[in-house]
Amino acid sequence: MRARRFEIGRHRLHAAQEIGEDAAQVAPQSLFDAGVKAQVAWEQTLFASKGQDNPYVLHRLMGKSMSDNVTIIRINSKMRETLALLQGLKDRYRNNLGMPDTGTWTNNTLTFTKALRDMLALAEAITLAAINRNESRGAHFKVPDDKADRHDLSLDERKYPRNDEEWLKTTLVTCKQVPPDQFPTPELSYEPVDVSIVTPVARTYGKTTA
Amino acid sequence: MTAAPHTPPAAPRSTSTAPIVVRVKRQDRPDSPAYWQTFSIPYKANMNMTSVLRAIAADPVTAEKQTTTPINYEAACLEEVCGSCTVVINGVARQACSALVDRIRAIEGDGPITLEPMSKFPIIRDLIVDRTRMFENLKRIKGWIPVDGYYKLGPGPKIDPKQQEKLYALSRCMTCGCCLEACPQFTLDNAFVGAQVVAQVQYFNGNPTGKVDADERLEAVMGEGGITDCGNAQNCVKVCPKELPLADTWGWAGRASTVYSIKKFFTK
Repeated sequence: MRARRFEIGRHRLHAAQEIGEDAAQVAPQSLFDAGVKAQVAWEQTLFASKGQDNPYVLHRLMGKSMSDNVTIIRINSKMRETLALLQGLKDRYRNNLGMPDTGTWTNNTLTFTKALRDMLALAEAITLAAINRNESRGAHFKVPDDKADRHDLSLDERKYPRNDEEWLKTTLVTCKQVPPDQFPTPELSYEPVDVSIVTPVARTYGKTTA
Repeated sequence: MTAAPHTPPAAPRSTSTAPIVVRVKRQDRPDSPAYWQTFSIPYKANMNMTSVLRAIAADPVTAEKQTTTPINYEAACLEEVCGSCTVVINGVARQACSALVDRIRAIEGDGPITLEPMSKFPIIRDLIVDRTRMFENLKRIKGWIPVDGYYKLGPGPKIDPKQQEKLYALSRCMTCGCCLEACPQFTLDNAFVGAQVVAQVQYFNGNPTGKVDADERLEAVMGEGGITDCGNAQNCVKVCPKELPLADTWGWAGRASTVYSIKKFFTK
């Protein structure tokens, strides 16, 4: 039951909630104009890029590494490999992208490429947050590096235990807003979980003995 | 574990690992001419047509080694419930996500698999068509249950299980358009309503709360282009991927509209 909130770049949900539901109505027109201008400029940058890397290929590499290393079983050494790979993909995205379609009518590739930038930023946020959390909680099974290959141990002996003292908190990943053609830098912070109404108990799924 | 009695036997699967050859009918703009391209991609097990299109996008080079643009297509749920990836595969309208290469090859061999956009809807680009007509028809028939009120209405009427089962079958419609693509009466420029929306009239009129708008719904599918334009080819029954009981729908529609006309003649 761990809620994570990602606040990345142009996702302004949090800010809108603070101002109230009518944030879009009260926002000055210049805000929207600037947003459109930045997106149009970004499209021009993407269309002008003459590199070798197909965005669908970058996406596949990201997806493979995330599926391999940042799902249920989490091992820091493996996740650091993914983090390094993501840095490489971000570099390739920024410096060696080649747009296979530069049309301006129903260009699926353009939409996909723009979304890929956010996907890479999110992948980095998820991986970074997972590396820092040294405990197992909920569906996430974290294994210390030195026990990564200790298949002789039982699952319970291998994993980091749940650690309410240090980790009963929500990871927040915050990024300063950057222009769309750049990647934001994720910063981690933590927020306590509100346990004033329900006291956390051990999750045993009906198991009564250890 | 024994299989449930209604489970159909597993469809045959090809074991061929020959490259997957696809012929795609493309069109750059709504008003530009269509053209065909052939692609050949390395075989991978368990591919569906959507993943074939994605593989082509990652390496958009035709079989003749000509660099081209990725094919534009729609896909959302990838589990045959949204209907957005509907294309014509080897001549039959179906969802690209549930069209498995191994199964197509088991029946039709390793020859090229052809992909075309549906022909009964305006083309936007490549395999993407504009399916607005179906959604406009849903608005015309008030494809919803009117429960808006400014006071608490309390629990709705009970539906008996037999009726619920019948309605459930109709509720599976995902507005994909296969029935209309296969229909000889439904064309790009006529007014025929087609099986899709008539099934939804039956669905909402069969609901005890939806019933209050029953006459209006029938009215919307009568007259020019209405249900009497059905030529009874029953292609819709054959192609519906969600196996809606469309033969029953047309039978019901004929009877319901006749009863409604007689009632209207005497009362309005």
